[in-house]
Amino acid sequence: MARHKQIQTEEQEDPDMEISSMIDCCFLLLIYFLVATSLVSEKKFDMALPAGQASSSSSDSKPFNIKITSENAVYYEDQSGKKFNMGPATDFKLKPGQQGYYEERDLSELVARLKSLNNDPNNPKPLILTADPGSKHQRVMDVMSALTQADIKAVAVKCEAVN
Amino acid sequence: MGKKERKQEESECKPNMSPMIDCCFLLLIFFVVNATALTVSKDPSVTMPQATKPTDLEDAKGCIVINVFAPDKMMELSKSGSDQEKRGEEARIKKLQESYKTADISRIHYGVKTGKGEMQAITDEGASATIKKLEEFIKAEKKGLESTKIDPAQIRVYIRADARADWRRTYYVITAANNAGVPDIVFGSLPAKK
Repeated sequence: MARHKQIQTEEQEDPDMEISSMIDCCFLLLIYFLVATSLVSEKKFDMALPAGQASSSSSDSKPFNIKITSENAVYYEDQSGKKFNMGPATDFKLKPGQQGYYEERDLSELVARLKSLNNDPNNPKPLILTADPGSKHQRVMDVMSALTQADIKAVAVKCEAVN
Repeated sequence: MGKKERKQEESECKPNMSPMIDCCFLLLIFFVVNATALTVSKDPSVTMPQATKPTDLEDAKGCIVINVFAPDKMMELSKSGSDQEKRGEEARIKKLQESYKTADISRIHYGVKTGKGEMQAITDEGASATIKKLEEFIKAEKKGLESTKIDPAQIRVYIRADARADWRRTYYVITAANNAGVPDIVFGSLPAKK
């Protein structure tokens, strides 16, 4: 009989809610969401810009030119002045259902060409990025992305009409 | 009798978890908020450009943030874009109007946060005038930062330019930063998705 009573009291205590596991779950969920949101956080993009306007002509070698027109087309000009089209004109229209400008604005041709320059990091070849005043900031970032992909860490930027 | 009392004491000894959890959550939220407050003052009215392989902004100290807007594009899209674009742009325009306390956003080309924590709009009034204004702002901020304990090498200009803003607007900021003696420039961007 005494035994029977003991069991009953134990049963009565059991309905206590087990909070600790719930908390574990909550923490896990919280941390998951924190990590998930920080994945889309803003990042920075480094590019050394040797004083825009003061593109000194100290080096004897002729610079390579990258040009962006007002229609956002990208051209590459080698030292002999020959022009190559690297990226088509684009107007950066959002496609339906898009949150940002995620469409691929591929400049892989430019990356390949820049890589073939075989730029020595200690003695970088002069590179000038000239963008039309009316070209869009995103296109300039595209070109700078291509430069980083080709391991080029510095570029001189200019702002003047390109035709 | 004595046995029964002891049993009650044992069950009372269970630690009460809920206040501890409350505390933990509070601490966690405090640290999260603190961490986000450290990052640069972000203006949601800017549609960030994308770049491949951007790096994390490890330390937002010493960043002079300059937002570059594309008001003309925002207004154009809020009228002629798709439904989704219209909604998005309208929200952005509203936010701009609120933070700069003006109904006319067509002349808000740059947005900066002054040392007093006020949002200040800078309009584009031709190359030299705009560069001069931006330069003055950067110089003032630089002075303010130099008076604190921040390492002078950490002072840099953080350009948060709208993807659709004209390049000349960004260029004015770069030129102004150079003129103000802050050659270190960082572009804000989102990582590109494939």
